[in-house]
This record gives sequence, structure tokens and C-alpha cells, in this order.
Amino acid sequence: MTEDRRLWQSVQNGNPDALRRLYQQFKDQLLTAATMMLHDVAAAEDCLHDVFVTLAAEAHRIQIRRNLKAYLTTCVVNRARDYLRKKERRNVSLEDLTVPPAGRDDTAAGRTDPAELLAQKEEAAKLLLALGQLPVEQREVVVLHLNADMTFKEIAKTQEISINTAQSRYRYGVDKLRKLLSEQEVSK
Amino acid sequence: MKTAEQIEQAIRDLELQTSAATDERILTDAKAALPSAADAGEIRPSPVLWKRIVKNPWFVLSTAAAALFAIVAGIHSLGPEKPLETTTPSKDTFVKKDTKTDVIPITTPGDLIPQIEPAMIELKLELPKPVFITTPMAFRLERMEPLRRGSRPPFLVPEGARNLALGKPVSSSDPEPIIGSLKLVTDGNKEATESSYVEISPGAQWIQIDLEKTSNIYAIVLWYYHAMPVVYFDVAVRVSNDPDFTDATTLFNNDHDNSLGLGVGQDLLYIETHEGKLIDAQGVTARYVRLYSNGYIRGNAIEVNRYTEVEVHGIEP
Repeated sequence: MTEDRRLWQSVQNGNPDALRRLYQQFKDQLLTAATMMLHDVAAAEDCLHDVFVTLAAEAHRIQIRRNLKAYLTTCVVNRARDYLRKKERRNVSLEDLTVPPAGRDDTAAGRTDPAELLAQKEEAAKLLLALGQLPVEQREVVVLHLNADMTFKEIAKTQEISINTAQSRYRYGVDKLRKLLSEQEVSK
Repeated sequence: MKTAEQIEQAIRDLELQTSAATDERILTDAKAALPSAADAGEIRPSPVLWKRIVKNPWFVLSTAAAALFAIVAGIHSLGPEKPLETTTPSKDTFVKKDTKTDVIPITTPGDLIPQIEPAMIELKLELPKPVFITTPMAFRLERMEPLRRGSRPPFLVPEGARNLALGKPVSSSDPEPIIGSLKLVTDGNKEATESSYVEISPGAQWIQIDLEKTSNIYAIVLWYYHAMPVVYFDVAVRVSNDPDFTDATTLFNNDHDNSLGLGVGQDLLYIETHEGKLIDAQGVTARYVRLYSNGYIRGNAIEVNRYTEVEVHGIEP
């Protein structure tokens, strides 16, 4: 039995420590995925909140057969999509952007320099801004593939699209990111 | 300029951190939601997210389709083939094969037909390759025309009519497609491949073709997405001389609940095939053609809007 499955079974048995471990293990990666989708840290935190509360409440009847990371990220991405569909699509502007908190390992050697940290934050903000300008369908595939390391086959299955569609959306998404990021460089 | 690989790596490396306050809030609420061991047997409604993952309608569909195929094949081997009876009248004006060309087959309001009647000839379409042959049983939608057996009967257009849409500019309610570009709609490629369609946002959307000249239009043929048997909702075809369509003529509308806001449509839903959907435009005069859709149904899922090709057969002044 894999580590993931054992951890999930403990959660299913109502073990609060297991829930805490599950949360600690995935929270930063999931927050990153949610922020990529929603482009707003506060909304991303709400999304994470909804997913974990739902998961805890329904844990006993959810069988996770694949890896937890893929499952949890799919939950976050789908929840984020619902949230975006209720609102306007692609309504993101620079003013909306909540500057993300500093990357982890702030205390690690070589990353304590404030100037470097700021540059890192700016880099992250640029990337998030560009991601926010992609159509939601492209963003989903980019996040699931790059942030959750899911294959196109896995993405196709969970998102109920064909593998070709997943690949096309991904390819167009990355192409558009290239364009957006190079425009940013030029306009600087 | 960054390479695609650099961007992919930057996204992989991107890491944000939750704040302590967030951790506290989520963990407190999640723990409160965690059922105690005693509640664990209670049956609760299933979460929608998980349902999306475990329920695979294609398995059910393909089993049903296989069963249907077996039955149909059995019936065919027993008796002579009869033509399929169409009980639902189609808006398309079809002409029987043996109709002589000196008979004007289309009855139109007087103001719609051109002054001089040119000779009528059969409209020849270059069809893309078909990629599916059966209809899954899931497509028993209300007010839907049955899938036609055999090819479409000839449709007559005046001599000299040609596809005026080829290479013409296309605009859309969603100017930034998800897959492909809008020009794919009039590029002449209508094959059911990944590189031949444009995918735009879900929900009610339209695309618009500018013929660049006010022309007489006789037939509009739509290939939305024919890589699999799908049914598009709220298909409407309108023409106008005004790019904003403030004054427009509706040629086809199967939006039965008026979700497009163009009025309740009386036309039937149809299954996409390689033959495309032919709309009789009856010689109407217009410069702009607008095509509407509101996603397609495939199994249980409502999908985005795709347009592979649109042909507008007519005569320029």
C-alpha cells in the first residue's frame, strides 16, 4: 500500500492528525495551483478552504485510487473553474493582482537577500499575470500538467476531454504565455 | 524571448506559501467537518468533483452502441432495406433526384428571389472524410431530427453560385479562441482533425463572416465539429447588411428556449456529420453571416463551442 493511500485511509477513519499531515504536505503546492487559476491569493485561499472542508466531510466515501497530488489538484482546479464561471471570465487586471507571499525556503542560504526576494516575487507576479490572461480551459491544462505533474492522459480522463484536446489546449496555452511574457519584456 | 521550455520550468518552479492564519482557518474548519468514526457509515450525497472522475459515460455509451449495432445488424440481415421514413419536416428544401432543372424547386417570397431567374444546378460540395458511422443511443433528445441514412439529396442553386466565404474575415463574440484561430472557419479545410477547428468559450457564442460585398445567398453549410456524433444546442444562422445585426434575417434557429434571446426557434436539433448542415438561404441579400451555438452535448458533458468550417454559397453582384 502506498504512503498516499495509507494517509488517505487515516483521514477516512476520521483521524485529525492525518488530516493535518495531508494539509501540510500539499497546502503550498495547492495554493500555487489555485493562485495560477484565480490570480488572486485571497480567492485561492478560499478555494483551498472549500476543497479541504468538502474533502474532510466526504472523506469516508471517496476512494482515491491514484496519487493524492493529482486528485487534490484536480479538485482545486475544478473548484477554481466553478468560481471563475460564476464571475466574469478573464476579468483580471494588474490592479487585481494580490502580490503573492514570498516563496518558501526564505531562510535558506542564498535566498535571504531582500533584493533577490523582491525580484523573485516580481517574477512570480509576472507569471501569474500572464497565466491569468489565458482562457480558463488552457489554464486548467497548464496547471494540471506543470503544477500537478499529471500526464495528458490523466488530464483528459479527469476533465472529460480527449487527449488531443488536452494537448492542443496546452500547446496554445504555452504559446500564448510566451507571447505575453515577451510583450512584458519589451514594454519594460 | 523566453523559450517554451523556460516558461514550463518557471511554472513548475513557482511556489507560493500559505499564511499561518490561513492554515489555522482551513484546518479548524476541515477538522470540524471531519465525521467521527461513528458517523462514517452514514450515506451522504456524493461530491460533484468526484462524480466527474469516477463516472465514465463512454463506457456505458459504447456498450449501448455495441448492443444497438448488434440489433441493427441482425435486422438488416433478415429483411430488405427500407428507406428511413422521416416524420419530422425539415426546414431544408430538398429536391428529389429526378426533378428536371427547368422546374424552379424553391418557392420563396417574391422579394427574396433575384430579378432574373438563372438556371438552377445541383450544389456540389467537397465533403470531408467521415470519421464515425453510428449514432450512440444517448442522442434521444427532444425535437431532434433523425440521422439521415445515405447521402443528402441534391440541392439546387443558380448557376454561378460559389462559396463566397472562402478566405473571408471572421470575427466572434469570443475574440480570443481557446484552440486555433478564427480564420480556420473559412480556410477551406473541413476535415475532422485537431488542426482544422477553432474552439471558443463555453456558453452562448457566435462567429461572424464578412462576405465583403452584399451578395445573394442560396445555401449556408455548417460544419461545427464532426469528429464524433455531437449535437450543438441553440444553433442559429442569421444574415444582415449591418455588421452589428441590428436588422437581421433569421434563416435557421433551433434554440427552443430562447436562450440566445433571438426568439424561440422552431427548427430541429441535429447530429453533426461530415456532410455538414445545409441551410436554405433562398437567395436572401446580405453581406454578413452570423452563426450561433451554445455548446454541444457529448454523453453527459456540455462542451465548448467549435467551428470547423462554414460555406456560404451565393452570387456576388
